[in-house]
Amino acid sequence: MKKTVRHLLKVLLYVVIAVVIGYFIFTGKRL
Amino acid sequence: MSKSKSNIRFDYRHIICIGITLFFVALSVLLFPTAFLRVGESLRDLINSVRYYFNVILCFGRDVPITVNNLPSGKITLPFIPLTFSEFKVVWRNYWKLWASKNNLLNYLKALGVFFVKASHVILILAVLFIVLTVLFKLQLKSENNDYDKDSKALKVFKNFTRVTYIPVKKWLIGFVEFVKGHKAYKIIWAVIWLYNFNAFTIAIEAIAFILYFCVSFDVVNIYRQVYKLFIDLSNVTNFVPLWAWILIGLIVFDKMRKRVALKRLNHLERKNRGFINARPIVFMVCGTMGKKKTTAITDMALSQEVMLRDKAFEKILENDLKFPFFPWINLENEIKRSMEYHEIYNLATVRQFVRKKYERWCKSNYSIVKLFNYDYIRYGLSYDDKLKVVSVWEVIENYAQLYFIYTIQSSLLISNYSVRVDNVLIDLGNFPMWNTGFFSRDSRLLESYSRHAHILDFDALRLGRKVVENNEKANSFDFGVVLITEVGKERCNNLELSEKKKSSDTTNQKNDLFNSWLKMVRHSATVDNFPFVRVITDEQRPESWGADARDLCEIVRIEESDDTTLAMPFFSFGELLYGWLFGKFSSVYSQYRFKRSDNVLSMYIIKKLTAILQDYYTGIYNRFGFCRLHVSVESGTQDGKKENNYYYLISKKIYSRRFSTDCFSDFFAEKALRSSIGINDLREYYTEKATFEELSEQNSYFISDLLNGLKNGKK
Repeated sequence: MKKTVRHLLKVLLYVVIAVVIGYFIFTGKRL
Repeated sequence: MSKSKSNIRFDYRHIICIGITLFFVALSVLLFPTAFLRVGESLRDLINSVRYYFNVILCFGRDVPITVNNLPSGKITLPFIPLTFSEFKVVWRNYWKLWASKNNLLNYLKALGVFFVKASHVILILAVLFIVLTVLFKLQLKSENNDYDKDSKALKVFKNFTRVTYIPVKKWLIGFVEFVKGHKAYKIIWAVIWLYNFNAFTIAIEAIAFILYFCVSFDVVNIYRQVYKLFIDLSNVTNFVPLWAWILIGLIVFDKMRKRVALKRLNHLERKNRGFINARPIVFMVCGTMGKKKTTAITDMALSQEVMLRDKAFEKILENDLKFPFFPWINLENEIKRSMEYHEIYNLATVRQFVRKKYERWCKSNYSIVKLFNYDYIRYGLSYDDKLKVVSVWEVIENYAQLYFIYTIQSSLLISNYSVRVDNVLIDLGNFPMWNTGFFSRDSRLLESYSRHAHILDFDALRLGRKVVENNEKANSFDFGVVLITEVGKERCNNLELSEKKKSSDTTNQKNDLFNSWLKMVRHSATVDNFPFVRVITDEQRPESWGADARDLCEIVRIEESDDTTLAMPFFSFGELLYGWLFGKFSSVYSQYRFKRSDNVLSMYIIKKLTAILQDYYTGIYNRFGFCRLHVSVESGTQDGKKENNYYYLISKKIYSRRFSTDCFSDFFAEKALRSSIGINDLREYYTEKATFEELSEQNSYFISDLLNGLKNGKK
């Protein structure tokens, strides 16, 4: 269970990183 | 005749390959017309830069046209990169201003929202499909039958359909890929065409042209222009490859990178292990209760130790080589090789004898150069001063020859009382051979082709005193290597167990075979160039099982605890979650299905196939990149010092790929079991939850018989 939660948190972190990178690209496109 | 005919027959796949080549050429003409122009321009730039470079270097002046800073001809513009550096600076500033603005963030969140709405549409459609399929499957699970191995109608149709569509296509494609791999010319031609299309040659030539120009002009201002040109040249690739393909390429590259990281980590752990083993004395014992991975650990240590001995021999060979840098070592090596083939050299003593004979012949020949392996000693000298002592060339030759012998022995250096598979490969082109000792990149399918096994340990070879077999020809065979003894206490016993045995006994026993003396002197036979090429690694459940005289020589490595297997590969959390979730679902559905039905239905066929693929991938990743950390403590064999905590890492790919059998003595028990005519099913059960007198007496137990005897005596 502890392991699953750890993996879940990691996946959430990946999603957050993807959203932040998306923001950089989005800003560039709006320029 | 028919064979030669089939050999001559032209493979039709050549026509397909030629067709593909023509298609690629047509694509490059139609889709990448600028590529040709750009190669021409880059060559022009290169010639001008070379001229400029030599003109400046040879002081002929700088009046040469420089074209490397010109923009490519043709109307290519880039929407996302400004033309000059000053414009770039403005845009850069604007970017960060926009980045920090509230409006932009809100717009982004809005766009993100729109994306999620679109994605939810897709998910909705898929969800409906999923629910319908699940309901249908659940209905299927409700019915029961005993139709053993009978295919359902849908499955029959599916199998027939794939037999004529998917399977032949897949087979043909695999064959075609193999064909292309076998004909390198196609691969090379296609690679060249696509590198040309994507301006790779242009970029390389322009880079050289700019470097030549830059190193004499130091024109820093125009570096930006080069970056701009690079992006224009790269636009051929970026515009041609669609977004989905970029995502796919990105994922593949990402996967390769994480696997490379994993391999690096595993190699790092292996180096840590080697450091741990090196810190131990020549004899050490691994202890732990049953199932603590003792034998696994000593096997792992022995495998690393074998590699380290060879590495050490190689290191020492280089050291000795440099003492006489112009000695033709290859001549000596070839003679050793020949003598090894004729079995004149088979251990370190015979190597030393071989060198001594060579020395005598050299003396007899009146010190001829030819008899000294063609070494021109008149020019390069016969002695070497290492600032501690002066050594002669013959001493160095003796050391070199022994080290070379240790290094080039092709069989394993392990000598053990259970079998261990080793897979180090000696690669020899007829010059100096090299060992491939990588544990983590072996192809499991080729395991049999390069594997060898540890040598059988004859304990007589380790006895300096009496032997079990008189005149045993192997009695004097040991001189170096890694001796691996599992369950050493059961072989050697402790003082208490040996109290009945006498040193003066007529038969060989643990007290008169002088095994312990051998253990104390083991390094003497194996020392070459002041390094002992020997290790004795043993295991036992408790250290006290081995007599103190021998045990006090060792260090005791206790396995305190072993962690779960973890993965050295990063970014596997998504895979882990998916596998955990899907496998859990599958196992509950499948067990229900197996319980209720025995026929084969299409839905289960597909689900099973998909789960098997997922399982294959998951276990493949864990087997290649998994490792398990052992918590070990090290103490002196005298057991009166302090314990020192440490870690040892068992890497699955290294130690679990058919290295040894965990039930190494199982053959003995199998033989014993075959003599029995009854099995567990034939043993009597207790009649009720309380055993009767009769049932108790069937146990043949000391305790129960004592009780029963007491009872009988009381009656009297």
